[in-house]
Amino acid sequence: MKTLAGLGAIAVAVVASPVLAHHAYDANYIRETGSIEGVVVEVFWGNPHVHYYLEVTNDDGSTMLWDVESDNLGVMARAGWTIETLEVGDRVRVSGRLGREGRSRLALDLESVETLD
Amino acid sequence: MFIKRLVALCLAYALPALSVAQDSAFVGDWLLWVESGYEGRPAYGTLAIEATDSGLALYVEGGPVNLLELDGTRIRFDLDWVDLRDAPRLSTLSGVLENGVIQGEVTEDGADRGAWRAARLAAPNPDAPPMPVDLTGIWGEPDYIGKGVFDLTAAGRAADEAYDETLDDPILRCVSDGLIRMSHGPFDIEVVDAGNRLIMLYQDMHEVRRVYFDRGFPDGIERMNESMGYSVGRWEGSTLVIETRGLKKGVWDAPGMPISTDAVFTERWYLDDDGDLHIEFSMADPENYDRPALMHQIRSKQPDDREIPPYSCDPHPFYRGLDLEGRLDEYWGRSRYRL
Repeated sequence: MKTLAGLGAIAVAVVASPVLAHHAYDANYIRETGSIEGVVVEVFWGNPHVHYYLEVTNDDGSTMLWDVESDNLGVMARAGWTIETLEVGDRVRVSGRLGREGRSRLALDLESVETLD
Repeated sequence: MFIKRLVALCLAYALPALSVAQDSAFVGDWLLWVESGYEGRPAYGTLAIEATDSGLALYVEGGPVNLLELDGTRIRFDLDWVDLRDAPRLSTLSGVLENGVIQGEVTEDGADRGAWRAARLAAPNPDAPPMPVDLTGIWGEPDYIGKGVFDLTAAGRAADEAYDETLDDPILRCVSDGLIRMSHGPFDIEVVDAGNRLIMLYQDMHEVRRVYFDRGFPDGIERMNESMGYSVGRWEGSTLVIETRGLKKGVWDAPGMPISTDAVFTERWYLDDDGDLHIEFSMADPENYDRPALMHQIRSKQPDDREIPPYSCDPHPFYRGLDLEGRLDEYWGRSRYRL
């Protein structure tokens, strides 16, 4: 793993990652995976896909909002997730494919989620 | 797009150099089975092998694939596809034809990726007397090969190149993705018999479709422009044949394979000996494709007590994401591409 310059909370790795069916994740995400740590500030629990918005603190103390995309409600339910699995205020570390062109988005690997604190 | 370009390059350079003796034993339509490595589920598709003046031409799901070797009963070809988890794959399938079945190994960059096989598909018999079978119930999400490259016309290529899947994809706005695309999405379908029609309830986008048996297409069907079109069914023996016209202009996969309003979508639904549902699709759209696109999928019957969960959709994360990335103005500026 290595750390992206200027973004201390983010680590990336060149690891093949399975993606989810039906949608073109390749348009929005690169094959490289990474992880971020941040605080959940908004939960979108719905279709077409569940999203979590994380406030991530950079090395210089500034913050930025990351859009963490998951899957549709059916897949989430089968994976045992509910609207209460991650809630506003939770501090988490999550991993997944990173956004194209350095965009602050991440395709969530459900098995990667760690709740901190 | 990378896979598309890679395969296009392979086709451009490799095909003219190949001088392949025709082997009529391979010619025909085959049900292709490829190990996908996803929950042990194989992916299914249609392999068509045709004799041409310069040798054999191979198509999977109606799109060209690169024949690498044909030597007696041995065959080897490349397959660009998307597996059941939407992971892009460029596989090499090597196999031997024996006792009417082709089977062998799948490799990717020299690494073993499992097995594959192909068995001949039965030819349709349009003269078979109707022998309807019970297709009602809930059919689970399909297993299929997502082919990546098709023979597009100039208009098809222009539509494909103009399409920006991060902005133009109707699903992003919770607008129906249409019959063809939702036919191979990871969702269930419930079939209800209503006498003169079958009612098909699609989990995806809560869409409803009616397949009529007692009428033809209405006047003005070419201007209907509806996401599910208008479907007319008939029985050929125990195979349900459905023809759909009046589809909305759009795309039938996420990367943007186009559909015109003149597209004709034909399905053949039949049960195999295990009670699994096979659906063969053919999508003829001369405006966009030089030859029909095909699909072959298999769905399993779900228990009677299964319930299809509701599917409500909210476009909030799409607009939220564009706002975060400063791309809202770019989106507003693409209204002429909106599907």
